[in-house]
Amino acid sequence: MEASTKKVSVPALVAVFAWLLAALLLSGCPFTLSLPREMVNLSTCPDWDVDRVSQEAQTFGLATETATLECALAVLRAATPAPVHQSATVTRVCFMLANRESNNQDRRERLAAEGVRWAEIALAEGTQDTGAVHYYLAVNLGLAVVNHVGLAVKNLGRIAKALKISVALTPSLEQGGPLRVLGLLYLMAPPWPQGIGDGDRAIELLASAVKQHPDHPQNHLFYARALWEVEEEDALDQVEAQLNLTRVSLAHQNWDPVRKDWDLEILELANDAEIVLAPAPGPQK
Amino acid sequence: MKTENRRLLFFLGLLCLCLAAPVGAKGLDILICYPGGSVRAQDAKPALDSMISVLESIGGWPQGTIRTQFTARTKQCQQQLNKKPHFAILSLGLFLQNREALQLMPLVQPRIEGSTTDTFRVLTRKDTAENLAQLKGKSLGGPWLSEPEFLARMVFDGQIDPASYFQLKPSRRALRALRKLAQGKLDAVLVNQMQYDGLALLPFAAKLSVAFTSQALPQIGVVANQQRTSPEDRRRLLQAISAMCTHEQGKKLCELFSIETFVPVNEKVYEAVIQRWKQVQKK
Repeated sequence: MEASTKKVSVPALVAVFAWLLAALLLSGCPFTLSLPREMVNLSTCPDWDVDRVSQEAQTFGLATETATLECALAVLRAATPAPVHQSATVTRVCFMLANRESNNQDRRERLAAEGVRWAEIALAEGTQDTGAVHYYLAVNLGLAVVNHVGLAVKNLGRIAKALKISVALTPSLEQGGPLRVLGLLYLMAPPWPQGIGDGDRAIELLASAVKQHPDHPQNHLFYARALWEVEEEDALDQVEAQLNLTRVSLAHQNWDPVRKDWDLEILELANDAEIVLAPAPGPQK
Repeated sequence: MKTENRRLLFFLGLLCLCLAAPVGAKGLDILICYPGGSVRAQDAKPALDSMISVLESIGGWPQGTIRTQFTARTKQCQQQLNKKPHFAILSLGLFLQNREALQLMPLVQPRIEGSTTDTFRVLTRKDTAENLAQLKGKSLGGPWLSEPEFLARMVFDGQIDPASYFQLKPSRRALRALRKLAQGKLDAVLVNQMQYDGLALLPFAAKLSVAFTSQALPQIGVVANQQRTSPEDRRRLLQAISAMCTHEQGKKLCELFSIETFVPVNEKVYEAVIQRWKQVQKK
């Protein structure tokens, strides 16, 4: 539903701090991580060194404990000299942690800002993972500025450029992550003539994500959303089909940590489009 | 639907909701209608919050309790409007339709590139139709078709009733409609001034031509419910908005939305439109 009622109360100091923080991260200062970080008690972490973290990071996913991710980040942060050769790993871990901070905007933005800086370092160092690093640069930057309208609009072009590179180099990363996120960006950005928003391009990218990676629920969910936003009633059958496919793929145990949130998004879109969905399938192994 | 810039309409909504909370008041209801847009309420929240934080600092407004309602649907906008919010950002059509019943009073207009008006045009493919008469019974698309009464009376000035004259094919996205026009899937598309000015950015612009141009219509701004707001509420709102584009932070926001300044409503401008609304009957 579009209509909403809310009570607004935003401490101005927090907003000013966030703007300053974002200005810092966007100012560019290679190889200097001057952003504030919280301390993690390494004594409670596994006895990992940088190489071990890099190895373990290959298995990190939605099911990975947040404490494990925090330990990995703490090890990488504490390394001397700074593990610039692992920058691609750090920017990914930063994003994974930032993305989980849905209730703490300040921490989410700090982690995302740190992820942006590590991505910049990785690119400056000539990383081998150019496509992946551009992807994590884009998604971290998105999280860092999404709640600051001026910065968000200002950085749309940079985010889109990074995503286009990742679409070209690593379209299958995170089961179609570059296609999925660039598609959503085109859907949500201010449309022509004010901005880069392009509903047709969004549908094209998300259809591709669905076709190539049908097991990722968000590919179906974002595609359904794009169809509804762009084609409206003309695509109701397709929207319903994609929402049902979202539920089917979401039933897999891989998605246990996010099932509740994404189910809510499915219901919101179904409600908006006045679609009555069949009961969701139960969790599957 | 009437406005030069839907993003501007949204901006005005943010501005209004941030400035209208009086000290010690229980709160004011602010309705923000973004008709024709594809913004969801939850997606608008960050923009609303950012704007609030900046604008509260502009006038030293205390943190207050503000009840806001946001919708991008014309039907929902009308439903919410019937609940009589204190202030609202509406399309010109909804304003004219509800002005008398809800005692709505325009307060402020934005000025963009020296203009406070908007003009609509019907675009066609070159060599297919040169005027409205040649488009009778043809398909008309675009994002400005959700208020046929407004189109009939104001945009087409009573010359035609678009609901029966055309096959209306509303779309939330102008670019999509224009691509369909270029591909021959639509016969005509209605665009506003900003979209017309942006045609040069499109690779198929040379294929299009103008079959109809409306009169210049005033930009929509903030409107107040005269029954539910005091003269002091309205004066304070006007004063704060007037300072917006000269404030250090507010100036950046104005620049972001290409707004030069906000000007008090010239009552004569709206009087003329109101008279036309009353006099012109759709055919």
